[in-house]
Amino acid sequence: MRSSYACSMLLLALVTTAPAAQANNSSYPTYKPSSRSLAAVDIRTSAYGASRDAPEAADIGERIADFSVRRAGGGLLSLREARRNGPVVIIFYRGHW
Amino acid sequence: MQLGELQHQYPRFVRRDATIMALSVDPADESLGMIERLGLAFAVGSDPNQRIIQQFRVQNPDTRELALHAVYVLNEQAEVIYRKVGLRRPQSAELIDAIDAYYGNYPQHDNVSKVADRIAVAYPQNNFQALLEVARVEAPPSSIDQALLAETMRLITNGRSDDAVFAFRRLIAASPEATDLELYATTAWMTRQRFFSTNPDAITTGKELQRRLARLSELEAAVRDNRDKSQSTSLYTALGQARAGLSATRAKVSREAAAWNLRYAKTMIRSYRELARAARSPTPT
Repeated sequence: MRSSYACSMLLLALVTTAPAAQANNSSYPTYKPSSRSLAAVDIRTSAYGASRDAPEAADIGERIADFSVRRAGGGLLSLREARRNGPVVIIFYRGHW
Repeated sequence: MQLGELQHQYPRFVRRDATIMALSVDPADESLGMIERLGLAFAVGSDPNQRIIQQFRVQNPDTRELALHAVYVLNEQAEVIYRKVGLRRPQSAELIDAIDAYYGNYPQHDNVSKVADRIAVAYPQNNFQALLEVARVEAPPSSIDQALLAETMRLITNGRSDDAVFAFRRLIAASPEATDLELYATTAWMTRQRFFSTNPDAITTGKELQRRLARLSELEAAVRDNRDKSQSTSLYTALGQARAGLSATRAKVSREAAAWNLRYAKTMIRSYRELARAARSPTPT
């Protein structure tokens, strides 16, 4: 009971000393860019997915030229073919390491 | 996001007519074992000359022949509608949300209506971001300040789990759907590391654990050194006793941690409910 009371008081103290609350009324998806980020932000913004390690990485709105690569198991993997059906999720992973 | 987790959520992408391409520099045939092991149903491609990596400009600055971990979502015109480069790896739900938002269907939850069902889906992923995925529900926007909550959770979780802030806020906001038991379980899970870091009782138990581990190690060394077998009986008896003692202490730690975490979780749930109520209450004028 005492610890609960202490915890409540701590939270109350934080409420009263914190800057004015800013309601997040966005109806768009918001996530934290990294585990160190304090706040979640709109994932559709350029800043959201940007990396210091790749400042020139393809950005939101940029058009990607069609490409094709060898597909594991045989055949080719074509962006042009894939995007005919709908959105395309492209994941760069490190492979065997 | 790992490829296995993506496969787990693959049907959700299929329902959205989305195609997944996973690219690496590995030769195409070298990925077959991984595909089979993870049961991947989506396409895995090979970019051994980093041609596509360079096209997206996501070369790893430390190892130029590899890409940074990066995820892109393109629309039918091949325009980037979402990207995440070299940062916290997104969960599949984040990509689903990006697609749904672009096509005007956000939020959409695939008819998974109960918080408990979402927890069941996300628990195997076993991290805080998964909790955020679970908790991405139709909760009314909270007026609780996020920075305040982040600070509060930093105090609660030693600053190592701030993703939990947002997950927890949404769980609380959705609490009419969630049972107390679900919330307790979730919070206890989130705070399990707190037992040894902040609980004074754990120091005693921790010392006992260390003492027993040291004793066991000492006896095992003695058994190895007892080449002439002169003390075998007494040594093996002591070894058996040490192992049994260690096992009992480990069970004790487990029991104490579970009980402590549950008490701690209950305290946190109460505090957050009060905070949420206070934030929702109209300010007196």
